[in-house]
Amino acid sequence: MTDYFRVNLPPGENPRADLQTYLRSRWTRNVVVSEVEGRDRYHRSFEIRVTRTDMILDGKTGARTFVLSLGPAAGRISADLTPRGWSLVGPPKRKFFSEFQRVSSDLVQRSENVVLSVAHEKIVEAPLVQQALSPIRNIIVWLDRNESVDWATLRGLHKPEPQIEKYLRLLEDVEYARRENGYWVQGAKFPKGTSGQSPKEFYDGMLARAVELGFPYMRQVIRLTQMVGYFFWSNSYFLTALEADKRVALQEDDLVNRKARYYPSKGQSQIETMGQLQRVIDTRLLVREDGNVIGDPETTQEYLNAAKRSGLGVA
Amino acid sequence: MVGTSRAHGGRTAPEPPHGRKVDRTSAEWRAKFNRVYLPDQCYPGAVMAALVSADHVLGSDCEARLKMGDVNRHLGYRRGMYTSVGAPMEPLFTRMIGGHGLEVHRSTGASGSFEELKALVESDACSFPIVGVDLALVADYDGRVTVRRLSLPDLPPPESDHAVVVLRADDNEVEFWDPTRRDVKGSLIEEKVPTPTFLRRWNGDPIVANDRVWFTRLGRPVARRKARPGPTLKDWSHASTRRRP
Repeated sequence: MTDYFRVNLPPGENPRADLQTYLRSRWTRNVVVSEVEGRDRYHRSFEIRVTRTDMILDGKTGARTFVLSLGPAAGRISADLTPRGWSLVGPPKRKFFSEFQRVSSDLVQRSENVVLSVAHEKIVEAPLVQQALSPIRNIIVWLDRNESVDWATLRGLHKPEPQIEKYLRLLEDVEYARRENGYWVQGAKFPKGTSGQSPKEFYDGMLARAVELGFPYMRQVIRLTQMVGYFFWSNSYFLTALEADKRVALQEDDLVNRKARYYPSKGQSQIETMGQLQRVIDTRLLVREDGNVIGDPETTQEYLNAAKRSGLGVA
Repeated sequence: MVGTSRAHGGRTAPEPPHGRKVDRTSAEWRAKFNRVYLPDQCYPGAVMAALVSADHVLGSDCEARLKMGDVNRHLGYRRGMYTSVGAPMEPLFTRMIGGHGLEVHRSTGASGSFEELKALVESDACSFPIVGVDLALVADYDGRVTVRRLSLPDLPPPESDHAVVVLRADDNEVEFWDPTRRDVKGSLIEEKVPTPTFLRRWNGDPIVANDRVWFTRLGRPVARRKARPGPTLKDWSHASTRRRP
């Protein structure tokens, strides 16, 4: 199989339109070809993108919003004018399609970071997340009471040592802990005094900050997978709200389909899916209203503002 | 420019007609067709619906034997990517529907197109036609639809077309089926627009103007491709003898 795509097009001033027609006829009808700076009029260069269309159905009113956006460039084709016409070379169709999938998942990832910044406090309150984070919380509580902790105490967490090392690495990264003379002591960002908060609020606040800053590490290294579902579901909703540019009521099966689209996974049964969605609703990030799922007004607005600030709204 | 083409890839002639389009009302036809979830899947959804209509009038068996996934795959559809303009005429697809005794026809170009469309809708010798239209048609028949176009600097605004199946067409009104329409209960919006509006959207399709595709019975049986002569029993026995020490 060739690792490049080559086509010859008739001579002319600029082959952009011919190339677009060619690709629309053979690859996909939503291809958009745009010219980028070339060396001269005999050597041109083109970027290939795809127009993405999303349809958002408001489950309450039945109103549909079609959102058309141009995806990021997923391939580049160079053109050289020869005596017989334009000779164009670029990536093959399958490479272009897989690159398109990759750049599309980048958008989901970027939105996840925004969700993390606006929803981490609510997510940390969820019982399942509390359970997953309990060893980290225990270390924080000990440090708060005793100012330092040694390995003998840490073994009392009943976790393998490499795992405890990972917890400490995370706490060190968010500057809640630092190593000193064989002990772990309070780090520079460890709050001094509870400033009138209840212990629960105080420790949850610290955990929320650890989640906000250390989520990729928690997910990929510590493997706290219990938390991931919360972000997947909220991100699936908030990305939809961003496309519609408003808080929308989604039918439950619609949200389930969207989540499957953004996060394709195999082997999740319907009963698990329903349970997971309900747990997200329990955090009050999403609310159930007349059989539809709708975002919490405050969090949705915060997300929309933060997403626009980070340039997500036009990507 | 007017262009008409047809493609087929089957082996057998189908049976005589089984029914007429007027046997069912537009509402009954719509109830037979399945909506699709993704807007970029409108073309495969429309093709599936047209094949279901072909089953009734031409006696094919697509509904029973084909799944939406089969149609998606044979049209080269991938999530996030619309099918290509040439997909219904590609051998991958024409061979598949040929196996169901059908062939595909496609026309483009404005000249005589509406007359042809009316004839196709009424004829019992073909399926309902699939047409490509400007996406704005959806907002024309359903006032609750908004189309948002998010542009990037230095690039033209994004554009997209849409596929619908035409169920009735006359000089006053065109009635169709929109594969992506998903509704809340109790909605009374009908999928029809005045003919001038329809023609404006059909002619204004940003990808291919006045595109129409329909299915008929296979015009002529296609000869089976001759099997390549392979090794005979004698060759095998000769080869195995030679390998022996």
